[in-house]
Amino acid sequence: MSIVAALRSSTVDPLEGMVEAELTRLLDQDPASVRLPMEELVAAGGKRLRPLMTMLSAQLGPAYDPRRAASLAAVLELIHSATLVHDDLVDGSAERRGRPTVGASLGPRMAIAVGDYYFARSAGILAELADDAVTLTVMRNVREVCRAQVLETNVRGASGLDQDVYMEIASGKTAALLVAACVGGAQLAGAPAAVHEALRAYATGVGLAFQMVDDVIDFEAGGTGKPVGQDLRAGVWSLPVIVAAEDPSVGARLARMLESPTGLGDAIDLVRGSGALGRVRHRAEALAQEAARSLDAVPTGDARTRLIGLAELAAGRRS
Amino acid sequence: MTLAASLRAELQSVAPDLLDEPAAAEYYGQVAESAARAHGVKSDLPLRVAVAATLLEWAITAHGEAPDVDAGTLLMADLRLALAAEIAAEVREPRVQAALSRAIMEMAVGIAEQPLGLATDPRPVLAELVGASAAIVGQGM
Repeated sequence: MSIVAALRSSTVDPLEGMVEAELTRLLDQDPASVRLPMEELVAAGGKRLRPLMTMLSAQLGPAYDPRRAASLAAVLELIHSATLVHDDLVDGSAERRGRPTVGASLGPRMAIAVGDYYFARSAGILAELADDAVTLTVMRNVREVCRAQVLETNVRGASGLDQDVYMEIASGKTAALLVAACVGGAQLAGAPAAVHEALRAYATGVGLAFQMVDDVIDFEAGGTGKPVGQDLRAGVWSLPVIVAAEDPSVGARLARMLESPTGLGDAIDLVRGSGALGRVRHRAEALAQEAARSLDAVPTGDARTRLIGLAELAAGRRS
Repeated sequence: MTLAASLRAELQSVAPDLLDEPAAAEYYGQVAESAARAHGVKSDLPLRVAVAATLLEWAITAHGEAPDVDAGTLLMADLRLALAAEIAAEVREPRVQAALSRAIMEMAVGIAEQPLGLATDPRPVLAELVGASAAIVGQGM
């Protein structure tokens, strides 16, 4: 079962419905020039992982207010969507969620404007929530996302990337917004500091596991409907490549193949046959289990159970 | 240390390259200085917002040059937008955060709705942000 199907079939539909209603309400207030492209992107789906984590984390606090939690959840989804619009432009991607990207359909100026507008819009909604701690949590983590994107672009095409740099990029690019969702949700609901810290550890682990599985799926035929090895084609050394290259004989062959103008297909096959995909999946599963264990510090109940389920889904998904 | 000197020191820590062309920092420093004086503000809030405005001017100008903006510059501009929003969050005054949000949205719509070139000079919008922030704090004193 895909993560999307699993989320939709679970008992969280009322939460999802609240977030969707809030997204619609917020988008309705915006100028058509920026609203229409964002509406299309939001309507095309997505996992809604960040909003769901926000809602569940907010339920761990004594002052849980579904309406305020849904606003924060919508903020996280809008920020995520804004980063996707800019990412697609930087990557030159033509499609996202089966539809043309904003950059491909409306050009770079619109893509930049839509991303900027919805980042700023999110800051405005946070200001309306008027919770300084939540605002700081979200903005510090958004800065981490942007810092990681700059770092990833700087090292793109560089061979021999090591795991430390990979982890730094994945922590920022993927885990940081999950941390903002979980910690921000708990802060908004007045949960104690021990719960914030447990959720920070949880979200970091789930984010890293999620990114690692994404990297593995990129090498598995049929996983995303995209060409196999798209990251490597774009010059990105994802974790399976790094792990494969740690075997000196594989690393040397990989370097030779990537230097050759016709060696990319062989390099992808070499990574797939090296056992690295299994090792990375195993590591993602271990991280997800550790993330779930970090929730031992939060109150038992439905929200905690669902968060643990999300960690398992993030590491076990096949698409 | 004067407010302008403090501003340069702040920029040195977050975006030192902006000091190579100090015109924007000096401009927002002056705006902050006169706004602080006008509203009797003694805190460093006008300084912090002037730093944010300097970052935002760079970011919006870079983004406004699209499609002639490379990936590295686009992402650096994103990072500076985020830094500016983080600075606004650190001042712990939601009305300042709301003002910053409105300023960016206005400039983004300008980029979206102008086929060529930045729709407007960002300085009036950002100077208004710096002045309004000082007024907000001044009213609360």
